[in-house]
Amino acid sequence: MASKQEANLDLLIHDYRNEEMAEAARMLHAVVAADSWRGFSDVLRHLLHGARPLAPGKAGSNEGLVQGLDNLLGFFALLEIAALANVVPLRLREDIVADIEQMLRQPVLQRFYLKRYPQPLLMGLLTRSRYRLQGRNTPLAPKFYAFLELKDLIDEDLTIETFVWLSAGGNVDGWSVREILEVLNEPRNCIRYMLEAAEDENPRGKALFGFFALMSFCDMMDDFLSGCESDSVFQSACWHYFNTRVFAPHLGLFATLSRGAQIMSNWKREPIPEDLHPAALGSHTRFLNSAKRLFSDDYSTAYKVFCARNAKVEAVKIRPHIPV
Amino acid sequence: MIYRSIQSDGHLIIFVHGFNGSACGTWIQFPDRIVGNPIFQGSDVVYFGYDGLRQQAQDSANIFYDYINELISNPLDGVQDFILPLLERKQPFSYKRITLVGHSLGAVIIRLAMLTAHKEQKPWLKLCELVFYAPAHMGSRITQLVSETLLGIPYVAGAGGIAKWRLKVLNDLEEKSELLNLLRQRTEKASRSAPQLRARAIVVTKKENVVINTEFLEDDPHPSRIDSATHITICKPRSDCEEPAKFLYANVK
Repeated sequence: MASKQEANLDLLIHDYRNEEMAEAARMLHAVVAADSWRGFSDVLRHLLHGARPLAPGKAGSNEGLVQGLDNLLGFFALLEIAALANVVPLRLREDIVADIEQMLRQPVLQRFYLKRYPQPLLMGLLTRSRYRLQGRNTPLAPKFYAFLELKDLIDEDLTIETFVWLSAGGNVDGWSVREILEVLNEPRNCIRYMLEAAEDENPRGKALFGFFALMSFCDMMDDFLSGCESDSVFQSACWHYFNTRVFAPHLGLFATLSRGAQIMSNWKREPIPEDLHPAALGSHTRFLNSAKRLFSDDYSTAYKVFCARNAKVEAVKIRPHIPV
Repeated sequence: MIYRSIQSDGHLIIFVHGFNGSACGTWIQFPDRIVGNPIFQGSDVVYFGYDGLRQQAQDSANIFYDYINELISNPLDGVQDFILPLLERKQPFSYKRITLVGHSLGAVIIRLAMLTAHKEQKPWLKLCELVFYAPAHMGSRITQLVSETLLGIPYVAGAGGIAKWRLKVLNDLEEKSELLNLLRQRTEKASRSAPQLRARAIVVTKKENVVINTEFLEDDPHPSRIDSATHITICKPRSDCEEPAKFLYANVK
């Protein structure tokens, strides 16, 4: 019978690794083998950031590849966090290691995720595939499942995708992020557009839903990270995951969120009915503070230091065994 | 999302979110507190999702009823083959206790589904117990509900009117709505022969601006209180306020 950790690994593969990713990996290998890489550089720029993201559903013939590769890299990052939490074996199975190595050691891909747009979790996973990284002493399985819930939340909310696209310079129905922020000035208009979206899926209302969903996500992520303080390496790894997958790819997203949160914190309070409990009148500075904390606290270092230190220790350990 | 216990004692817990909520988002703080917690060691836990914005309450309740009925009839359906041996469940496996946890509209959805189970004489109804966070079973103030759940602010004048016109579920949730009146009458009658239709525990807040806190059934329990919470935060334990989780622990033990 498989161990619990092995079963968890199989379950993660079952739930989060799909045929689209496998197809993207096959396409990538075919492109590399045929040395027809040049045509895909745009795809990679879109995928690994630095270029304006493609509109949802507008990636053309490369859409499957972009989406599949993006999701595959996300899956690898997820595996690294699972291994860090001891939810899956610290030393991954040979077939998984071979899969990781075959993909992540492609020089063309490495140029992007190691050099131009560094993704620490992928570097960490590569280190793990070579060396036996330390396990953590804190019980992290519950935190890992909380992390998965957050991941699912952001992956499954299509309204967030719409808002992110606008904030990266996109445009729907003549609306850019400027119009969205303009509407935010007036709560009544926000509700009007959101209700329209609830009825007919109009993209402007969807983007507004997305804005509020993303603010709420920041708040949850902030709470989640503060609950992971007992293990700063795991905390840092989770921050890297969301930073890489949600915030870093879209230049200006954080600035837009902050501006939106600032507008909300300035909302004038309307005269309220007498029976409304005044203590319930919350303030949107909470959202602003959550978003600020996520990017002002130094969450990025601990995981990078952990990987570097572990790789170094292992490298020293194996040196005496090198035949001379 | 469903979490299956590897040492099940036959307990099933299903969380049901409210208006404009989601299976992940509404209960996001719970998996962390449930996985690995000895209180829930033997429990399978489900976070049920439905469209709480566009669907009428009765439609959502029917979907929920079908889901729960299917899950209880075939508890291991959909479990991957490589997981089955780890679950160590004696066959035939069946649930012995079912806790249904609802927030706001989620409580209405649960109560409606329980009425269907009663009408259909489902034997699993006897296993059920109901735990509610700020239930909307006595109705809600629509303007406040829309303002809170869409924008996170307590009141935007006029929001209710346009919202009711666009979202049918809000007509269901209005105080003294036809649906809620029927729900109450039928539950009252049915609970004489099915005491499981009464809530096991209810928690409310004095800062409640959205739902009406009047008691639903005369013999529903006296509600607990988390007065630092609002309608939205009452089901969201945080590092600085664990009360929502403690309320659940106390009623699941």
